[in-house]
Amino acid sequence: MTNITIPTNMWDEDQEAALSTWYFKDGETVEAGTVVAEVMVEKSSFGILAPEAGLLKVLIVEEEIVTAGQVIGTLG
Amino acid sequence: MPLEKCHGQDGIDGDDRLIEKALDTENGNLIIRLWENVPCLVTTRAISRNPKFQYAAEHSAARGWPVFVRKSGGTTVIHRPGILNVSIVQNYGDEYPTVEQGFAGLLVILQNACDKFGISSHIGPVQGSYCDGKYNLCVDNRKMAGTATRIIVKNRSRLVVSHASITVDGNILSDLKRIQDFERKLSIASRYSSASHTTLRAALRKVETAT
Repeated sequence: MTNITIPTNMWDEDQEAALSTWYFKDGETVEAGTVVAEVMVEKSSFGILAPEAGLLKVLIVEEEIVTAGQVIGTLG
Repeated sequence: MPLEKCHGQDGIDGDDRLIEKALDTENGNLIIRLWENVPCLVTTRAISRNPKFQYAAEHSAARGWPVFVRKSGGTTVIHRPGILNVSIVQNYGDEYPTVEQGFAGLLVILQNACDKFGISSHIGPVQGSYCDGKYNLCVDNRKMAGTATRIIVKNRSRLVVSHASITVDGNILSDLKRIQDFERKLSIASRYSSASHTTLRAALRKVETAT
């Protein structure tokens, strides 16, 4: 099983980030390198890549606050 | 550089076409687009998921202000003649830029342009402005342009799409009313003040008066 993790060092600690969109549903198969989710921080959005192919397990729901380094889902 | 006259969603989607061009550029190179839209409101995907969105959008459209959805963050903004949109795309190669870097490329261009006109500008949030954020372009503590960015990954390249909406001229009070009417229909409580906004024309007038 591989974790899908929010990248670190992308924004200041005082800024709040939220997981804005999942592009795949829980249980769907995704390819390696696909943008699986989008995070929003300070009117800036960025895509989160699937580190490898696999079945997606969603751990964080849309609009929930996320932090740098947090695991938002897994691929198995 | 020609000003692109756009018609609603097509204007917003034009930034995606800019991304395709940027993929063919060397890392670090910038591509710029200047564009103006027909009168409309532009909101975010998060707001478009509001259960009252369709009702609010139809209400706004019936009054001549159709609502379109953009991919970047923030809240609802207004597009119309007199609001100049500036979009830039920069290719960062295989490095993720920080949020700060994403905004910096665009803000440097905007502030340099202000300097050339003799306008003293600064960057920051403005309480009471619509779609407020940390990276507004401000004059005299009033918001003149709002900004947003998208960091996207395509063909192993990290690209930053940055966008600014500069209020060149027009009726700010009317802009605020359009946005607040739409947000009220969505049950979003908002309180904006025209004193929190300014226009490029007003900033230029002040420079002319001072010289």
